[in-house]
Amino acid sequence: MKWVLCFLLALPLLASGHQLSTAYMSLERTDSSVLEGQLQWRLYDLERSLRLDSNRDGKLTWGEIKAREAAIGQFLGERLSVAQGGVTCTLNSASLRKLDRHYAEPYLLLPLQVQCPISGDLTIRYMAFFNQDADHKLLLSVEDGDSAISRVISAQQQEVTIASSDGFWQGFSDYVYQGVVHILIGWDHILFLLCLLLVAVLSRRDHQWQARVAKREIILYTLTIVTAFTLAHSITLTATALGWIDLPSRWVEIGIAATVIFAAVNNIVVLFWRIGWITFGFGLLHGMGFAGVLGELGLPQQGKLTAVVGFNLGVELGQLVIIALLLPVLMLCRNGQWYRRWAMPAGSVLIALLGTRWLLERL
Amino acid sequence: MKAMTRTAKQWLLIAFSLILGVAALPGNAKPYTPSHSDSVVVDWGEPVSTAASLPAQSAADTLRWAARQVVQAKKPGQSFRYALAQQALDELTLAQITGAAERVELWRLRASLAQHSHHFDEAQDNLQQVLALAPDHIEARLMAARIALLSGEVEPAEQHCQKLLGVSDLLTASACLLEVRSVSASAEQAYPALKRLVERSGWPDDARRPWLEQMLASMAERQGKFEEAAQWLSLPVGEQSVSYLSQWAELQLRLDKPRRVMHAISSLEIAPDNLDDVLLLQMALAENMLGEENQWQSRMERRVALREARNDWQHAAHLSRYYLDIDPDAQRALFWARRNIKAAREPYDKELLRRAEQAALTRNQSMDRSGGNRS
Repeated sequence: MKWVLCFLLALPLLASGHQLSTAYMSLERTDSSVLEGQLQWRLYDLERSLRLDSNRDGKLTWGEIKAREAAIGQFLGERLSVAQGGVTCTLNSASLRKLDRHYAEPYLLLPLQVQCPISGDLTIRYMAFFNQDADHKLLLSVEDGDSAISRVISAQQQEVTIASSDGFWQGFSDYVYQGVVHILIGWDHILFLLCLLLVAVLSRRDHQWQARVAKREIILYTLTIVTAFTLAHSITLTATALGWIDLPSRWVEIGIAATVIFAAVNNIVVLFWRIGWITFGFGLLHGMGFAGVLGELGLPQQGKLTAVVGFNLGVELGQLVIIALLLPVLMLCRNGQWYRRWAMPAGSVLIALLGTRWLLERL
Repeated sequence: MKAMTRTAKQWLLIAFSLILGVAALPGNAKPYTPSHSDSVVVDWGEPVSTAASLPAQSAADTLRWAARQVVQAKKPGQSFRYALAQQALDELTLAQITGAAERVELWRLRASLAQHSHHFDEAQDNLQQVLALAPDHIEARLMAARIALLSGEVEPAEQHCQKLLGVSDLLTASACLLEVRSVSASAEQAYPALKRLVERSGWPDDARRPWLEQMLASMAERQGKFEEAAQWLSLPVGEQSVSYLSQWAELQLRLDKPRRVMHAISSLEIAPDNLDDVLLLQMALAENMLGEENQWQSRMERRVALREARNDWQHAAHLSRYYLDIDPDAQRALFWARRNIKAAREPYDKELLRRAEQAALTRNQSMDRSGGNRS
């Protein structure tokens, strides 16, 4: 059998293994256009890229490192770039003078000076060693006055932008962005919203769905239910993120799946026609789901509330984008009998099936 | 004279321990400049290029080399070889690989690497490529079933196992199905059936043996039969994978035999900073149980700090366990347990989340009683 080939094959073992490829960079703003600091690269990573051990004896000497100073400088210039206000900064590295150790591994310390022509947001792009180790990460810290910002640069995210604004707004835009991203990739939230929108363009008369005639009425109705949803999930998102309430995530996720099923089924077998309060109740659960994501991102020690507000705002912005894209289409379709009889129920069934799948997966 | 020798030996031992202790200190030591150009700043034991560069001439050579790295990487202290294999595969293009068998191998290896990185969807996509080219590929089916089970997808796991019937031998297909049933139904049902199956078929003399041993041990463990579970796993440790060894160590800890764990893992002679996270965690747990000086617990604390700084969510289960059993912090334990359950949904992961939620609840209740501030 093929898998019998899985016998262990002898390979030479390095005297020291190499579990975590991590680089460290710290920068401190000395004035609005200058940053100073250092980059530390693990010698093992550099050896793999640049072959510093020129006599190939497995022992790296200080002389062998110094001899490749120019190559290391060139490698640095190719793999690290800094821009401020959208304009590329000049990167200077002084001569190699020091080594350091992290977790018993030797590191080369590269002093850095960054000069930027204009002020603005600081963007750091780093792409060293990812081709040889997809798990390589750069731990970056930037000190700017009283604030210190930490970021992780990885193969998946090779560029970070640090806002130039003051401490209160530090990272605010990052959290707004994350909020937008989360609602746009959070299918359970989108489909719940879609369930509400599918029937927002219809009204219930004589036990049948009829198209709402007045656009104003549609917009008002949509505003009502979306506001109920938004208000509710804002409450629980904030309360959960700040640690005031704490429900088991599993039950929250199960509950969210159940809300999707309920909303979809309610479009077909109308149990509740006026669903403002129900939407509010369900929104409370969705808010706890959003808070789970915020928990993963982590909240800054200072400015927790700002981060929560930013994330919440991002979620609302993302939600508005979805509504702005979908509602006009649904308004165009609402008068067609095919929409009321087939498209809306079929869409709802599909969503209910997806919701059921999530529910089973989460149970 | 004899007494003198003994004292000298003791002093030597103390001095040696001090040197080792200082050498093992984390990177908080101050930067330094070597005094001389000839100063050796690092000794890798052998040229890095010997292990890190592939001596391959052709695509087939590269695949063979990468496959050896993946096999070796599963052993303690060798996980850096996953990155070597990944780099070798990244440098290969599909155009270079003409033979169907080589393409199958490429996708299989990619799946293996993705599975190691906990990118389970990517791993399944790669396995689909293998199975599209070679529908009877036994290892790919087993891997697909395992990953589905890890992700809590019982039905797809069962379907993969069923497709092995008539393709693989009965032992392999049945064991695969029983593993799935131990999750979908119960370990109580699947365990005796698997035992009977192995007794009837006899132990295979290949890579399936540790696979079956681990499966039996896991099923016994889930029923609380820790003694019996431990009996399925055999040493010596040097020949086993990290997964096998950590399962053995976990059972020894459950059986209140922390000293055995410390002895076995120490005997691997791997520098503590290069020890795999799970083994380091188990050393720290063992030390904690023994109530001894916190040498391993400090090392684990530093590893946890690094993992958290790197936001290495693939190690979320270890981080959660650390905050539950070594340095209690209910909120952090819960945070990492929740992060872990998003990727891994095996019984162990569910149990970890349950424990973390319980710890957080207890903490909140005690804070409520004392009128403390939760945030």
